[in-house]
Amino acid sequence: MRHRSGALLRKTAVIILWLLVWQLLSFLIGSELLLPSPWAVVQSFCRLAQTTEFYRSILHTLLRVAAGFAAGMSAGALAGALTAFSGAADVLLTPIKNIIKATPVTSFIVLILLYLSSDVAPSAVAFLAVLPICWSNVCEGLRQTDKKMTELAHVYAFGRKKTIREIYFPTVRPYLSAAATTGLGFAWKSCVAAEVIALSKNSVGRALYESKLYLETAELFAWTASVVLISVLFEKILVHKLLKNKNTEGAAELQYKFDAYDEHGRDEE
Amino acid sequence: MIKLNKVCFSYDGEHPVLADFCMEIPDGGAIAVMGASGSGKTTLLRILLGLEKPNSGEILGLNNKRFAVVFQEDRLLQHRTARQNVEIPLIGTQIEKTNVHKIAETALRDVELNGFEDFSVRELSGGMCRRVALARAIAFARSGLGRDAAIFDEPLKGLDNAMKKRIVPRFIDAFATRVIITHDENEAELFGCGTIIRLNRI
Repeated sequence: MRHRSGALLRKTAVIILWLLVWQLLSFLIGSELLLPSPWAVVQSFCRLAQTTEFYRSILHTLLRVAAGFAAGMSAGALAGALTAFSGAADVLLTPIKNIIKATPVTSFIVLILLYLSSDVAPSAVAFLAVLPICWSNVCEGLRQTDKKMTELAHVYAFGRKKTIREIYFPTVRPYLSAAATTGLGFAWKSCVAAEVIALSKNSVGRALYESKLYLETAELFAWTASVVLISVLFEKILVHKLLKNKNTEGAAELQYKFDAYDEHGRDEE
Repeated sequence: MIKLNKVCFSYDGEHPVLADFCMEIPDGGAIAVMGASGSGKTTLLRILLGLEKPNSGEILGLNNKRFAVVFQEDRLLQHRTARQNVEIPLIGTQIEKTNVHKIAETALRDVELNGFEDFSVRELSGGMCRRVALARAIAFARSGLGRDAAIFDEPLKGLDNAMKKRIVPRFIDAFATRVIITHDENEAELFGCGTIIRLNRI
């Protein structure tokens, strides 16, 4: 408890220190247009928070990120499993993953805008940002699965569903968790970048672009801070959700999974 | 009856592990396989379990056989408790859940792990983990799923002699047919193995 409050105190002190550095720099530059003070950004944020436009933009961007992220994670997990288990799929699909990885996000945005509307394109860009991360991690996780445990599953006739749940998933979970946290950050960045270029309706990206256009630097900072805060919040929620069952102490905690088999004890296979 | 006839096996195609190996495991028979390290004991177990295919020779009577197995390593699900490790092979089968609990409870009691059922296997000592692996095989056999034979690779590794003598008689009846791989003749005797096959390094 003492350790936790100490860490919180240290974190707060670091944040205050950097806010003071920011304030000092703003004071030295002496132009709110070039570098607004933290207080001016807070005021701008409060003003934004009183408008429905702010919440509408945040909500739409959030939905675009969520859609791209979910699709990227699902497709990445599927592709990861395919390439981990099938040599042919590995040979055939890995070059696509490498191309996606190496292509700059801005190229994707411009290319995708040729085919998709400005409302959908940011989700597609987020999807492409998340896909290779999840793909690589899931593939690596599955390849790390202990062969001895898959043999056990074979000998004790676990069946496919039980083998996935009991043998593969516990090995892949830390890889999936790392992919999710990294991927979420990438999804936010790429989605907002795509919104700026595509000028998607009701989006944080468009708001950022307009703030820059009208030289509303404090507002620009306020929008950026909002994105950062929401991104961090969602990352915390995601990490908590993915890692909360990591602790294996105590049977009760694990019981929910055990009960996933139906009440007659029969696998739904 | 399971019959191995002139079975040859090599991992690399150059150095044979088993050469023209013959063996008969009659229903209800108890056989101990002994030999020095590297003599092919574990390879034999893997062939019997269908985890390795022999390069030549024939194996008869393995079709649809279900074995209760203890591997050389414990091979426990590290994210599960002792009870769950014993129950999981039975869950998802035709066995009722209440029965699964009873079978697991009895198996864990037989290997003297009562009181530790809900401990994560990560919290258990090496000897305790070995007994969880044993309890899993006992439960599998008693449920009827691993009814055909017990195939054990050094099943009592890490247990003291007094405990070995105490626990084996409690569960030996669960396994009518037994193939026990061991280094220890006393263990072979404890498992009632009338036949001992000695493997030599080739």
